[in-house]
Amino acid sequence: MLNNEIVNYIKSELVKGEGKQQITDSLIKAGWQNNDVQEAFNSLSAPASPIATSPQSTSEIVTEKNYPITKLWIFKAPIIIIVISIVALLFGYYFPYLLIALPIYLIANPLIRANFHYSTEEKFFDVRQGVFSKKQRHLPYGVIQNVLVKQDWFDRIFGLASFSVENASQGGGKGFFGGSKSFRLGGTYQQQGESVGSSGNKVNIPGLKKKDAEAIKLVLLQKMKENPIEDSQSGL
Amino acid sequence: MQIAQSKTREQFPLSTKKVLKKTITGTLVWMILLLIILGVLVAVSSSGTDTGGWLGIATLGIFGLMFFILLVVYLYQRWYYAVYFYDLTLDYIVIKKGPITPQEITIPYERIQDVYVDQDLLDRIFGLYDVHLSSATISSGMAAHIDGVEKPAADGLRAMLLQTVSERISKKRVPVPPQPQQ
Repeated sequence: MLNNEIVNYIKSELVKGEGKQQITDSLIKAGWQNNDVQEAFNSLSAPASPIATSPQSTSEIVTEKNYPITKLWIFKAPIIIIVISIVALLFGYYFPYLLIALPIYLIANPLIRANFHYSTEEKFFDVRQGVFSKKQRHLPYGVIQNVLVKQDWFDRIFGLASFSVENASQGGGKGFFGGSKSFRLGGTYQQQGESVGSSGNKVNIPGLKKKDAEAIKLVLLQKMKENPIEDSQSGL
Repeated sequence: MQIAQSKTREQFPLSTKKVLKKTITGTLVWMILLLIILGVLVAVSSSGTDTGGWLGIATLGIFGLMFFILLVVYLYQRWYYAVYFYDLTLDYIVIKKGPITPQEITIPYERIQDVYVDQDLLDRIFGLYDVHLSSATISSGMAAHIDGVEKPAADGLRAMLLQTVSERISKKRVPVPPQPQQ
């Protein structure tokens, strides 16, 4: 018979990162039957938690081939520039330097996109990037401090999202203040985090489809759960 | 309006007074500015000899504008309130806000650096509390807070967070496995 007490206990122990064998041992020591314990474990692996139903099983490696930066992202900055220019023209202004930036974006963005690779390896989140100066980053899942999924105005209109993870490394400010700022309703400035790949303490993947961003989030969260670090950085 | 519901929000609801407070903070500067303009206009018109109808129209315009700003900010804040999502799940804290440009942050309990509750002046007036929880990153400090809950919810959230965090980070505390019933 399936016993909820055991199931709850196993759940709470699994969360702490205890192994299956340890949990089984301590339960049997407490006087439970082995098959009761096994049954409880089986019931746990069966149900559909949101993470279990993620399209990619976590043993599979997820890369930019599974969830690519969309081609639309290449045109994101140019489209914004064109819109700003048109609006400005309506009011009788024009910004020539914006139009100079246009071809630069159109050349640079495809190169950046083509040279950006990420993959969810077993222990590390690997990011390789760089057109001229190359950069490789291996981020251990255990040190990820938080996971962000963001959409700005453009993303919202075109159904995109940017995904980022952060750790607590030095240079935390660099990625944060380096990005462009834009005006938001309510009068505050919001950081856009539009840098591609790793910068400062952050790895940012912009221009994903919204559902792809959600899928990567689930994969990463699952990886973080599977790879806890022993020494907690929490101050509490 | 459909409210983004989660177990945590059901248990520790956002106060509807938050909408009111945010509307006030969002419009206060505009109100003061427009009142100053109105004051200047009145002063100018009383010193001049021309007492035409333009002052009345200007006053009407300024009050109309005030009302319009108030309405827009209020509706935006209602919307913001409706989509404000926070959930303390088994492993992570998920906070999502922003109706137009949504931003969702997920923090593992182990990474919480501190939990604190604060009130600003208007919070004191309305009896609201902000529950902050942050990891070691700057963006979490910006995004990871639950604003505008009343005292019982603030205390409840704080207690629940502290409880979960301390449970999760203490490796020494091994719970006793349940005993089979005889």
